[in-house]
Amino acid sequence: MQKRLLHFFITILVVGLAFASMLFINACDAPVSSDFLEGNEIDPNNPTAVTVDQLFTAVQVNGYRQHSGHLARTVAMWMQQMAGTDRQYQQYDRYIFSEDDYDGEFDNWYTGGGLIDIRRIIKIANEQLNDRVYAGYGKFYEAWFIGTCASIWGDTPYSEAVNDQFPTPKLDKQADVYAAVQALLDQAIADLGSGVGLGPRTVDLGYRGNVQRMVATARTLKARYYMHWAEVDPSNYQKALTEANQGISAVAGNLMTVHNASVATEWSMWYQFYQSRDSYTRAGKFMVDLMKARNDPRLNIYYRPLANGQVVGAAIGEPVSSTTSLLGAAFSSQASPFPLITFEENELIKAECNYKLNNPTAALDNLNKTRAELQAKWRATVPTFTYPPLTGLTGQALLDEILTEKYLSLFLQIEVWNDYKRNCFPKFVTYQGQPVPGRVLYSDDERNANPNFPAPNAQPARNANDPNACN
Amino acid sequence: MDRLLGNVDIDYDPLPWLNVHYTLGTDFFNDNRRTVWPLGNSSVPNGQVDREEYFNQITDHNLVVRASRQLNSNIAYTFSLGQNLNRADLRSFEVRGSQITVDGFDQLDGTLSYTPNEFESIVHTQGYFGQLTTDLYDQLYLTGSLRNDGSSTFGKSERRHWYPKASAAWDFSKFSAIQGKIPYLSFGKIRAAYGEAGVQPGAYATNSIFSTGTLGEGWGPVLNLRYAGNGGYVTGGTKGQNKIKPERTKERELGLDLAFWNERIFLNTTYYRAETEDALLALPLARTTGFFSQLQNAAKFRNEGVEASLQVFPLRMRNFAWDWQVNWARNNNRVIDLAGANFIGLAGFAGIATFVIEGQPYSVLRGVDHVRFGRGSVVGGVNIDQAFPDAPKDALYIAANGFPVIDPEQRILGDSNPDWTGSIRNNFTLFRKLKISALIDIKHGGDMWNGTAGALYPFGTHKDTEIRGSTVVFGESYYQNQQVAGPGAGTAVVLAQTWFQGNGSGFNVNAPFIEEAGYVKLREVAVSYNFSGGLIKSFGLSDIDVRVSGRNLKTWTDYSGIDPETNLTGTTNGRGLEYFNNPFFRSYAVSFRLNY
Repeated sequence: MQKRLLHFFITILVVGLAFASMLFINACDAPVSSDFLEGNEIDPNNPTAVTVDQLFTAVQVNGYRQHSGHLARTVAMWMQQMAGTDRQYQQYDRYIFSEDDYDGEFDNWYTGGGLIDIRRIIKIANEQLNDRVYAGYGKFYEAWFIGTCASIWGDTPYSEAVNDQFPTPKLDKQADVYAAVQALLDQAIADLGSGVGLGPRTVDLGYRGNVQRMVATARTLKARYYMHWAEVDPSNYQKALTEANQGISAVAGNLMTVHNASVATEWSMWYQFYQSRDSYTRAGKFMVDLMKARNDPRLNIYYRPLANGQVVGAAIGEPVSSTTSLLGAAFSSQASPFPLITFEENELIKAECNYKLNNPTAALDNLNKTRAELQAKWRATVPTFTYPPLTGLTGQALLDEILTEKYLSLFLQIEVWNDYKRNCFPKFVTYQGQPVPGRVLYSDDERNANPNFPAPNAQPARNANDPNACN
Repeated sequence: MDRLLGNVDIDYDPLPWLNVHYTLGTDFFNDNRRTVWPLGNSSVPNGQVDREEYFNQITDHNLVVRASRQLNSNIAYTFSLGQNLNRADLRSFEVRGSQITVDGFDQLDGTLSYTPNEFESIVHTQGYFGQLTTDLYDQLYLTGSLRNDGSSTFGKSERRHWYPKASAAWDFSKFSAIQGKIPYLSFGKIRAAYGEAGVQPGAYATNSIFSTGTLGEGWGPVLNLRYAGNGGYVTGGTKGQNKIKPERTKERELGLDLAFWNERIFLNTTYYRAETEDALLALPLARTTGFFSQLQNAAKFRNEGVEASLQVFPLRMRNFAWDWQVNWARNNNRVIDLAGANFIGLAGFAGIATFVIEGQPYSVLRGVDHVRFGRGSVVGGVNIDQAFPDAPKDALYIAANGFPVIDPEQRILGDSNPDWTGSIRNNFTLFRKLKISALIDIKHGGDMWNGTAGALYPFGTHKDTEIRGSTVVFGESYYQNQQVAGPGAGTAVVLAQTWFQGNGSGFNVNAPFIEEAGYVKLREVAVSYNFSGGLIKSFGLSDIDVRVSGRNLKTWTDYSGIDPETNLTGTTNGRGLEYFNNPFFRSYAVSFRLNY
């Protein structure tokens, strides 16, 4: 028995020694450290530091996606410029959506390419490059993104957003967000005009570094955001007019998306959507009929005529057929530029403000200047395009014409919805008499991780800047 | 696809009771793919060519030293120590060429623009273990072991961890007091075990990075971050986590194995309970912080269940033998804690997906339902629970127009986990040459989303839509299994196209298309015959086995979709979605085995 026990202990000893020698064995290609598990922590697939130009390119691309994608397509349907004619788009056309239909669109203002990277740009510009112009660009994009977010969702995180100290940012009131955005735009304008630093230069896709144009666009954006509160407080009309008078003064100064027909991932969002889903959304009957009644020369530009030369729009929820027109090639081709912030908007803001401030002569001048610039712009596509000035318009007829012109000129843009919420114009017939939605729901992904966000039942039907329903 | 496997094996006994076993192996594969979307196809009309190459090499070094000794006539033991080192090296390239210029020419240089993608990862894992097994009185078997495992994927302060394991098994039928005392019992063993095991995360989760690629939306269009000749990067959606440690599962098991009637009946049963803590999950973050998620050791799950198998040999004669076997398993799982998140998405589809939700079984279906009572829903500014206090809980809300209404809030719709699963196998042997076997698989319970039916409704091509134009009352002649309440309850309505394309369409609501997806499947029937005899031997063979089999021969199920066993999202952790899935194939095979 003792011999056996002795063997038992020898076993342990021998095995233990053999084992100890193993501890010094490493794989052939171990790094300098003798620890086999060290040396493979750094991710070779993604960098941990990037340049400000690379971040700014990404932010601009995000801006393109947000303003010419799913939200814009939805607004076009609700404003009856287009109609939802197939599958899920038929339901959106009837004002039906759930909290996961626009969740990406909400998140994208804040995540990669959004506020988190805009803040990085501003930080790098101020702390490393001493480039106030670049910081000004950053502040403009921050104001534009958060302002658009607040115009659609109402209350939204801003003061606590993108801040490690606040893992669950609270909702700021819509009015407070707008006030902060207006102040930020003032800072942006000051930074852009300071002359300190070079800014992004040609990395600025819209203006190739023309900082004066950027400043004018910032003014137009301020005017737009004052208009969003004019229904609640009409003193905003004067504020908007003051800004618009320093805003974009010609079509050449328009902020448009930039696309490239040779690069598939730089094709316009509408072209790409139509590639596999051109049955989902077609010309909207209301706008088509409106343009026909006015003999609007843009009818065959906005929409593609059918084989028989006619343009036919679909009524709400009407299914797709070969007898409804597609979106026109000017907007749905590979390289079609999409309007973001334009002269037409600026000039028509002036027209509406001048009218509401009892200056109809100036309002008519603004309207005619818009028509003249649009004529020059569309003559590049259709050489015979004629859009002459109007005379003898006064009173309600003048206002209606101004608002109609804005509705038509801002074709496919989200801003048409903001105008509708303010003026309840155009007075189209809504689906089954229900009101057009005043906002979309918060992202359910955000609600999942942030208890500050209410469930759909507890979210308001309209935002604070839109107190009155239209029907 | 090329694959190469090789290993070197050394077995050395320096002493009669000491064995050293060393294995060094490598497994290498190279997967080269060309995927072509030709000109004119419906999703990419301009054509596209994808070229991908995957290279994967795994090298494993395994050294075990084992000592086996007999302490005395009643006690024997084995003690082993082992070391394992493993390196996994994965590399891949992909180039997507867009816009094919020459129809039928499918190489990359025939395309106009290129999007590249590259990925590589190296993971080192290292393990040491010691194990002692003892055999006492030829009856009691005890095992204890301790492992130390580490991985380069964990946070620096959490590289290595200990994992203990212990088990005991008692052949009580050999115990002198019991032996022969229980009638018909020829073998009986009771066993118990406890073990801990860990799971490591994917590589590089500790890094906070920037990423490039494209920005997109759920409808297809994408825009490249590297735009107009400029580079573009965004902050990666996953926040880095430098304290990642292993997910740990602690499992307890109790089992009983019995054999009766001279080993004609075998009964094995096992009860287990496993608790997983520090489960590795991409925990969602509030998106307004700028991040989507962060890998964390966050969640707790519990799996508890029973497995049983019964094997019977009723007939064991010279020329005819028959045995059958029944297996049965039941597993309950529950998500105990999700560290503050309400849900984590697993895999899914537009509108409906599988989720991990606190308090629910792992992988539940969550999507769009019609508005129901008892959920605090507000319709048209009215809180319907307050307006209709007598409505039964979960009753369907019927609006004034007589139709249900879509609920904008996502709801839990079903549980895709089965109640139990089982199988039955029968084997017959005739004249020691002809063998026939049949296998039946059974799944009981488990919900599935029949997205195929949901998609066919709005097109009017599903048989259910043949009732279009008829007049129905919701809750009575349509949706008969639902209780209803609300301002329009009991109203007769016409089921027109607007219903099937609107609030009844599978693109807009998911709940009506959730079905129970239990099944009984005749999984396989096989017949084999062994040919021997003079003719066979004259060819130099000893015998030939010929086997004919058929798989997936028949399915019995109440599920009205394509196949209750498939999964739209493939080998992900989520299951229970169907959307035009391919059913399992029915196949027939013939095989010949020539024995020399």
